[in-house]
Amino acid sequence: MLILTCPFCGPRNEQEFVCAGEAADRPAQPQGLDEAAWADYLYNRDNPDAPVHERWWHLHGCRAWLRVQRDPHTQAILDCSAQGQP
Amino acid sequence: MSGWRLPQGGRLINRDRALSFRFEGRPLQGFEGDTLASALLARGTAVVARSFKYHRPRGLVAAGWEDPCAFVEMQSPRAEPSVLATVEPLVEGLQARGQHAWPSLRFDFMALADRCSALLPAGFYYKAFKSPAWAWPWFERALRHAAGLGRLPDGAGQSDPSAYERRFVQTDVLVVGAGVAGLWAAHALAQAGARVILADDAPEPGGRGLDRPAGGVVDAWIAQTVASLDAMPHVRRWPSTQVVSRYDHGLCLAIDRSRPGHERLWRIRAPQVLLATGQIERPLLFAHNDRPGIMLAGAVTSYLHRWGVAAGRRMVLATNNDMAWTAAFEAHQVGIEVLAVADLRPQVHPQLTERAGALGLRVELGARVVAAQGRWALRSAVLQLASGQRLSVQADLLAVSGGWTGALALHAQRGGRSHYDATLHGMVPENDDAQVIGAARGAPGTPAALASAVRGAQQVASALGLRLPDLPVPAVPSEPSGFSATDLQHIGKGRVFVDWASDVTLDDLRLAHREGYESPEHLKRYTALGMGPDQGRISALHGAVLMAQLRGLSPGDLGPTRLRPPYTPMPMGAIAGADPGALIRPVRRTPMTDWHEAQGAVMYESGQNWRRPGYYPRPGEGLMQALERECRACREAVAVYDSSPLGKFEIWGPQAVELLEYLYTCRVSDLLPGRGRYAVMLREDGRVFDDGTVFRLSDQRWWITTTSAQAQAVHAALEAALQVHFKGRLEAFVTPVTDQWATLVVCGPRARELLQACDCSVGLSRGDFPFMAVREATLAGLPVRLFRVSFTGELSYEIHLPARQALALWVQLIDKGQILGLTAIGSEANHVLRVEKGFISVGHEVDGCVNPLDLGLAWAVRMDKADFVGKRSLERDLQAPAGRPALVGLLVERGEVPLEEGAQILKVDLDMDPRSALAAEQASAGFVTASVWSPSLQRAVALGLLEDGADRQGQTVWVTVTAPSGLARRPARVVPPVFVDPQGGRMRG
Repeated sequence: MLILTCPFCGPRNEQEFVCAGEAADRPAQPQGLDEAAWADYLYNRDNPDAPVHERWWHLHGCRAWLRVQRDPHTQAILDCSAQGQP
Repeated sequence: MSGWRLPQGGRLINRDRALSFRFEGRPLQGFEGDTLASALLARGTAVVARSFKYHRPRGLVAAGWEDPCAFVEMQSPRAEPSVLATVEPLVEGLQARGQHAWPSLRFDFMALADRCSALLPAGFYYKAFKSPAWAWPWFERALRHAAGLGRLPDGAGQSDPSAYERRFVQTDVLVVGAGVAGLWAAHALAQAGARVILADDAPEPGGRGLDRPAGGVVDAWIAQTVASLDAMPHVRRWPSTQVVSRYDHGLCLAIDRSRPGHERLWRIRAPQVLLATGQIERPLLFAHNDRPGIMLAGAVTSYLHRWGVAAGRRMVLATNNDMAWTAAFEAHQVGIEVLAVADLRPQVHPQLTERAGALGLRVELGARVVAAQGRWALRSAVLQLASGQRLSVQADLLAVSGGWTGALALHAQRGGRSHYDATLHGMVPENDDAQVIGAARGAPGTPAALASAVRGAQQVASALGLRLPDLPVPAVPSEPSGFSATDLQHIGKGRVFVDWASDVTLDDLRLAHREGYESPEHLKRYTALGMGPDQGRISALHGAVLMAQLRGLSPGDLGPTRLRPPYTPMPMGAIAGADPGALIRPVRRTPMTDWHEAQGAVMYESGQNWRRPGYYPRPGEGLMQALERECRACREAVAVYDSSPLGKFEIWGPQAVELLEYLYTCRVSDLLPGRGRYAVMLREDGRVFDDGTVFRLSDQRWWITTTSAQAQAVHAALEAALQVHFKGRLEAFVTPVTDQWATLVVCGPRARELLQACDCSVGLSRGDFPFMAVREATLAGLPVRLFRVSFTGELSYEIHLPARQALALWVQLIDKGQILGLTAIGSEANHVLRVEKGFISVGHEVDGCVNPLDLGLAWAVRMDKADFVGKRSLERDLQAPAGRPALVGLLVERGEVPLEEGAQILKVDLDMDPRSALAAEQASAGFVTASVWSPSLQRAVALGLLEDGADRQGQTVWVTVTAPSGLARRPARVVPPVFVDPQGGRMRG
């Protein structure tokens, strides 16, 4: 059970959040991408043996979308910051 | 063995309070402070259980949680199977009996399995009982009956009468284990100012200090330290509390078992954890090493000093390490006749041989046990001496010690690594975020244990930013501590038991190796070694070392299997705590739920924990009759239903339109205030995610509805669009109001009349209030918003109003609707009505794999918009439309029963029987998404998704149907997906 430090609400239990998986930025020009590149954005994720960038949503708190960097070995949260302006 | 109670001694028992209890019907006596096992041992009970597979008689092996066999069935004071006798405290009136034996422990019919053991090796069930295949149900029943351990108490289906508790606590340091190392570290850290929780699973502190004679330097130090700890307010010392799990970010679970049957679960957040969990002993391996009367040497001393019980009268000690010799010395002191001390090693520490000589004990070095005889109780042990000569010793107690290893479960649960140490012949932890201190560290002997405690405490203190005080470390003389390994060549022939809980023998290990199950994890699953309730505490390391030797590797090359929480079994009731039943998962209710229940509606759980009426049966009505009545009322008169779980959002701001244009496939910017449209939301891969409506209330205010099951997901999508995609630059704001606004739907040809009867303040004619418009009005004196939206295909008004006023309006509608024939309808009727109209529903037609074009919703998709979620993927689908599913209607002959929902539609040119057809790849061309009996048409109608369905109108397809013999098929005709009012005139009128 992780503790995530929401930048607005402080340290909170994982149960307050919804994990939305690895962060992948939507390409700025989807129309300009060929099929392989679009499929890559839709379905492929890196899964590196290194800290992962994830998106979490603070549903039972301030409802901010957060960018979280997590070490998959130790579960240490390296960074937890807001996406855009609230 | 014939155990007996010593005339004095026993640290944990109170000889002034005798307790009566019964085991297997025999009345017995013990003392307060006894465990069930120590009391049974004191009365000479040898056999307490029958083993899992072979039903061999088993006695007491250990004095604590590591015992693999001593599981009994408790009858009183609580009915519970598989209670571990070695840790269960004795109480007055306790009644227990052996389990897994029929008809009794003494005469067990299933002991036949031991005679047939050659037919029942490890994994026999993978190879036997395959044919004849038709007999499998019989085999399965017999196997299941034999394969359980323990029996559920009578009335197990009813709720548990026990009360449990679940508590939360935060602390600075959690110290697990109140032995010498744990006590020192807890004390030092408490003196430094840290908040400390010290948990130990025994009722008294001291750890293995309890297994020594009372009095002495160490005892005095323990008493002093405990008194000092108990005086400090920021220290919690929890006896009888076992830390069973460690999770991320310092979360630990501990079970307080001071009141068995009323356990308390602690959820502890401790940024620093010190594990002083001690060591676990393991037995020696030789033929029939599981006889009752064979006990771990450490357990012999435990029973001696903790409960004042001698485990036998004539004892032989067999060991391969120095530490077990104390068992012989102390047994001799209390009057047990020690007949021989057999050590595997040719040389041992001279201090030991000198002491043995002084006590007059026979010592045999380089000797090992080759067999133990006596099925019901040990009669003799056969030793092979260094000279090769065999010596049979008549003994009723054989104390064995095959080595010690750290109790590292809590370390391993967090992925902590350990390696096999060639000197200690046990596992030693490598560094981890939690400090392992004390004997668990592997350092043998008390001085080394204390040194590691000092180091561990210093590291924790500096992590907390505290300074440790200069506390003296008790001076304890060191003892000899040499070890030797378990070696295959020292183990003789015969049935050598490696895991006693699952009856796994050395031959089973050899079998697993031969068959290729070579890694400890495969070995575990194939033979069941370490899968019993003891989780391999005394057997896992043996298994890993022996498998390594079988494979020709060094003993430490294979580590034992990965351990997962919890360490010991914990009752489900403790996890639920004081919130059982309905409190575990609160159900959401609308303002009208009480009214629905009072009407006798059959209530369903749907969507996100909502409790909704399915149908309202009148007396004598079943589901079909109620449906007939409710659907007719909606199509012919007027109906009302409670749609409050509908997801609702208010979206406002100058740039709200951009947000909506991005998320929805339709165009919204051209909506005038007061107008709305049906709107579909896609995922980025072009698949339909949700459907609902978008209404423009004013220039900058919008009202959107979603399906109730997806309300939270749509909320997430709205906020993600604003914060992540638009990076907070849009001046648009979202407020979820699903719970704050109730929704009542009035639908049917007489809906207008009902609203007029309730003094609706706006004109309801088609010109004043067209289809897909919204009006703010008052109804029965209450301010409401009226939306002309139809899910049933009839003239329909969605009434949205603040939830606190909804019941008042509902009651008014019911009252005024009486003379119009108003009927309340539930979700079942809704389902029938929407299927008749061919309206899609998320979860039926929208299965996560279809795009809006497949569903015939091309009219709701504006591909000429610059961008929206899912547009790019739709472009691809448009280029390759062949083979995509299409929404179709399916009709069977009049009078036939409806198709089954989920039935597969077979490819039309396939002429195999359905089961082989479906087994062949790509035999399914689609499936039935919804199928109902239509009261309007008095026939069965269905909707489905069919490959290239648009091109197959009028064709006959085969649809599977479940038959007693398996799968059969029946014909159905493909028709357009709408059965009632195809032009939609009724809802638009």
